[in-house]
Formats: sequence, C-alpha cells, structure tokens
Amino acid sequence: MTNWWLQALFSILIWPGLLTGALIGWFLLWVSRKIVAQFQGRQGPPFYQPFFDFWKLPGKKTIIPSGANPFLFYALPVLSVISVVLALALVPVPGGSVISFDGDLVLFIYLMEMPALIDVIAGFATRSVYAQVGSSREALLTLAYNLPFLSALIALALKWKSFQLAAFSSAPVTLATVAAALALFLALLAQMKVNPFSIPNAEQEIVAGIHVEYNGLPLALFELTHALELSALVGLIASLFIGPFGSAWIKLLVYLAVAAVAVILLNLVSAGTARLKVQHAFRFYWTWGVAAAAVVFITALAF
Amino acid sequence: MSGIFDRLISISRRRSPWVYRVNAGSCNGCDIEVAPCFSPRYDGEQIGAVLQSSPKHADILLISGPVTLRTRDMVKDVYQQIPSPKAVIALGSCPASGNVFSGSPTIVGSAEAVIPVDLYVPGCPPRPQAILEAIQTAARMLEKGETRSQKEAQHD
Amino acid sequence: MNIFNVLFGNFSKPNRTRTPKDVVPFPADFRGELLHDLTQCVLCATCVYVCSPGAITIEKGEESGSWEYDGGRCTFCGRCVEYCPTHALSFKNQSAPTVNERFAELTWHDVEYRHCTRCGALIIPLPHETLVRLYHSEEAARQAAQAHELCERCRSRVHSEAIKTGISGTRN
Repeated sequence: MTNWWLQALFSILIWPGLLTGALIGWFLLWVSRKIVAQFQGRQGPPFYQPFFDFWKLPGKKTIIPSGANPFLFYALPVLSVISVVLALALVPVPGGSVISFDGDLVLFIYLMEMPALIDVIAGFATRSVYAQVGSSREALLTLAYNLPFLSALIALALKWKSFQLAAFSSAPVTLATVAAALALFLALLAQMKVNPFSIPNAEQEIVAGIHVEYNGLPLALFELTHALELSALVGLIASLFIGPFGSAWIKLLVYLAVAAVAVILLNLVSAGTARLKVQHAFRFYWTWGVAAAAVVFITALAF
Repeated sequence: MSGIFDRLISISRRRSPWVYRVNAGSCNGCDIEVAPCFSPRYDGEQIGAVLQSSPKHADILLISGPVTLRTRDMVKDVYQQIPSPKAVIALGSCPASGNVFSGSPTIVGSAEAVIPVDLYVPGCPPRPQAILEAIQTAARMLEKGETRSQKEAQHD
Repeated sequence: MNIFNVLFGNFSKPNRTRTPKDVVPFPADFRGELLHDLTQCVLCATCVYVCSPGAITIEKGEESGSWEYDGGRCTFCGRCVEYCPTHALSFKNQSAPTVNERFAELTWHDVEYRHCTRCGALIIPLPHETLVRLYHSEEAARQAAQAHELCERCRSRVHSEAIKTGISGTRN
C-alpha cells in the first residue's frame, strides 16, 4: 500500500507530473515560439528562454492591487497549478501511469476545466477593468471550445466502452481516433489561447487580459500552469496514438512525434491567422465544432 | 540552497528582460525606432526581450519624450507599478534634457526629475541596435544589482 | 491561404535577423557623435546661434573661453556643422555610446586666448586651414598669417596705413 502511495507521489511530482511536465511544457513553449519566429523570418528565442522567463518572476516583489483579496490573489494560482499537475499525473504515458482507475476521464476533464475557471475568477478578483473584460471573454470561450473537447472524449468513451484514459491509449488506432484527435486539436487552439482565439489575453485590445494585475510569484505560477496545460493537452492527443505499438521505446517515440506534429500545426495556425472577435470565435466553435463532434460520433459508432 | 536560487534568479534577470514602453509626450520618433527592435530584422526575442503590455509584468521601462506636465503623474505611476527590481532606460535626448522643447512652460524637462534613470541612449532618435544594446546592458545591471532602484532598496 | 505561402517561404529560407554583435554599417553621412576640433575653433558662437535646442554654449573667461556641448540635448540636425566657418565641428560616423549618468554626455573644451602682437588685446587667430581656404593657396595664406595675428582693430589700422602708403608714399 505504501508502495502505491510512493509511486503515486512519484507520478504526481516527477513523471509525468510536475517536474517532467514543466520541463516538457517549457520545451514545447520554446518550440512554439521558435516555430512562430521561423515562420515570420526571425531568429527566435534561445532554447532556455521559457525556463528563465519563469525563474525570473519569483525574484520580483509582488504588488497586490488595492481592493483585491490577498488570500485569493495567492491561492488561485496555487490551486490552478495543483489541478493541472493532478491532471497531468492522469495522462496515460508510454510507461503506463500509476494513477489509473475506472472513471479517471471524468476527473481529468474536471481538472482540465479548473485553470479556465480559475482564470475567470482571478480576472474578476483583481478588480481591473481589463481583467474583467478578459474574464468574461474567457468564460464565453469556455462554453465554445468545450463542445469539441468533451464530445471527442465522450465519443471515444462510447467506442471503447470505458471511462478510463488507459483504455484509450491501449486501443488500436482507428478512424475514430484520428477524428477525435482533430476535434481535440480544434479545442486545443482555444485552450492554449493562441492566435485566432487569443481573445481572453488580447494584448493590443485589453492590455494583457486576465493576468494584467498579476506579477511576481503568482504570475510565475500562472506561467507554469500554461506550460503544464500545454504538455497535458498535447500529451492527451499523443496518447491516443500509442496503442498499437508493443515496445515502450517505440511508444515513447510515437508519443513525441505526435506531440511535435500537434505543436507545429498549432503554431502554423497561430502564425497564419489574426485574432477573431469573441462572437466569431463562438460561431466558429458552434459550427465547425459541432461538425467535428458529429464526425467523431459517427466514426466512433459506425466503424 | 538559497544561494543557488538567488544565483538562478539573477541569471534569469539577465536572460529575460521584459520591456514596457511609455511615451511621455514624445514626437513618436523613438517609438518608431522601438518597433523595429522587435521586428524580424533586429528581433529582440533573440536576447529574451519581450514587449509587455502591462507594467506589472515588466522589468525595464523605456521612456521616450520630454516629461510633460500632463504625463508627469502617469510616468510616476507606471514606474511605481513595475515590481522591483527594475531599470529605466531614457531613449534619446528628450528624457535627458527636454531637447528642442526645453524651456517650454508645459514640460518638466528631464525624466530624472520624476523617476531615477539608469541608462541614457543618445541619439534623436537612437538606432534600434543601440536600444537593444541598452536593454542588454540594463539586464546585466539588474543581474549585478547595479540599478538605482536596487541600490536604493539596499540603503533602506 | 496566401499567408501560408508567405509563412512557408520564410520557413524554408534562413532568417533575416542580425545578431546584436552584427552591427548594421553606418551610412557614410551618418550624423552621429558631434566632434569638436579645439585647434580650429575661434569661439565665434555661430554654432550657439544656429542650435535650436540650445545644446551648445560658449562661456568667455579671462584667460580662455570654453565651448560646451550637451549630447543629451542635441537633435543631431547638423546645422552647427553646416555653418561652422572654420570647419571645427564634424560628425563622427557612429552614435555616441550609451551612458549611465547624465554628466557623461557633456563635453567641454577650453580654447586659450592669445595676445594681439601690436596692442596686446585678447584674440583667437584664424587657424591655418581656414586661411588656406580663404586665400586659396598655401603661399598666400602664410603671407597673410602675420596680419591675422593682430586684433581686428589693429588689422584694419595696419591695412589702411598700408593702403595710404601705397597711394601717397611714406609720410615724413
């Protein structure tokens, strides 16, 4: 029993949890920035950039805006990091995750919802006008992008008759898997707040969106959340494709290859598009998102 | 253990200078020269510099233009909103002395009178590479604790 | 979809970024740091008169005059260089360095006065290069140099006497 607890702690803190999740997340963030830079004909940042961007922030003085609750100000980012780390520990990885039980998909979906909800609360809690606009946009966008995200996962659950993430990663790759991966990718654009859907953190319109009043350590934790979220969501997409392969090493290779393809596609879309209005983004997800959901359900149930 | 973290944090200050730009009544010349610093040609991102839109995320304040009576309080406000440690770079001649506007009754004259300035970049306007070099110098000053805000914090 | 052609075009080519060390060459007529040649300056104050921000000041003392320039007040318009009669001012082909203190942007040079060889008044004689430009030849400039060692009043006196002698012969 103690052994299981130790292994669970290991998977939360080391692999695939906080430590590796953060390192992979920072690496993927660097890849994103570098690819966008290359698409724009720029040099781009050196590979250690997201790491130093994070470590600089705890060394800064934290200014709590007047009228904000200091407890909320510090607690929200911590809660956000904890929820993403727990979600990351549930992601099925090539070695097989320790924490895996029937119904962990529901817990995963719940935990991945937490950062978005906390962002909304954080924006309102800082009492900045810009953050409040960002919060309301984020709340509206949550309703939009969850449509393809949830329907892809539910369709897969219907197909493999299981609410366990490990079942998805051990299943063979079919047409439904590809369709689900595309639907998850559609949601990933808005979840990562990259360009066509960078509406909640629109720099040119509402200063810096939700995190406008955050600085120092709380901002660092939000940045860490962003990195962990990227590695969790990309990891989820990649884990759908590792089923058919036997050896753990080939699995890891496929996992990383799919993750790389997802990140490259993500940044191709983000570099090639301009920001949409929130109503356009909403319409996009309720037309193309519904279409993607329909395709996923049809492929999952028919084939 | 804390020594390692202090070292890591001070290296990070050099590696990732985030910049906030404030126009204190400038003619826009210096602001136009700041834009190419983050363009494909000069690309500030290769030294880690990012133009931030909120002063609360910034480490370095770029100030351009003579500080006018109307922008004086705002410049002070923006400076106080930047969490310390912070560095201030005065772009061009205007924040240094008022340039052609010096002697006008509507300007304060020098940014020095409002906030402590760490670096003066000469030129009217300065070249983009001079601005990037100044950002690098300011980041190095932040690492070593040589900026005026850091020195004042030590005295207290 | 045109944007993707542009993006892939950028992606396939090497990037256009210059590293901070790879400095863009300055154009030949770049108006960078202002250089003041102390040996050429006669403290005529033309530069003070044409300078719009008032970056240049001249203070005349007892023994010497000082030429002061504030690099942090200059607009680099180049009018002082254009109007300087003795070509004492010029632009360096490079920007001035970034400095930590306001004080480091100031330049001042002391120009020593000389005495008029005839009456002893304080003057600054025209430099040799300017005389060459004025008289169009080395030879003529060297001949005229003696007259330019005098103050303005003495020079006109000497010249008018020379003219009078030329017309009416030596007075006895």
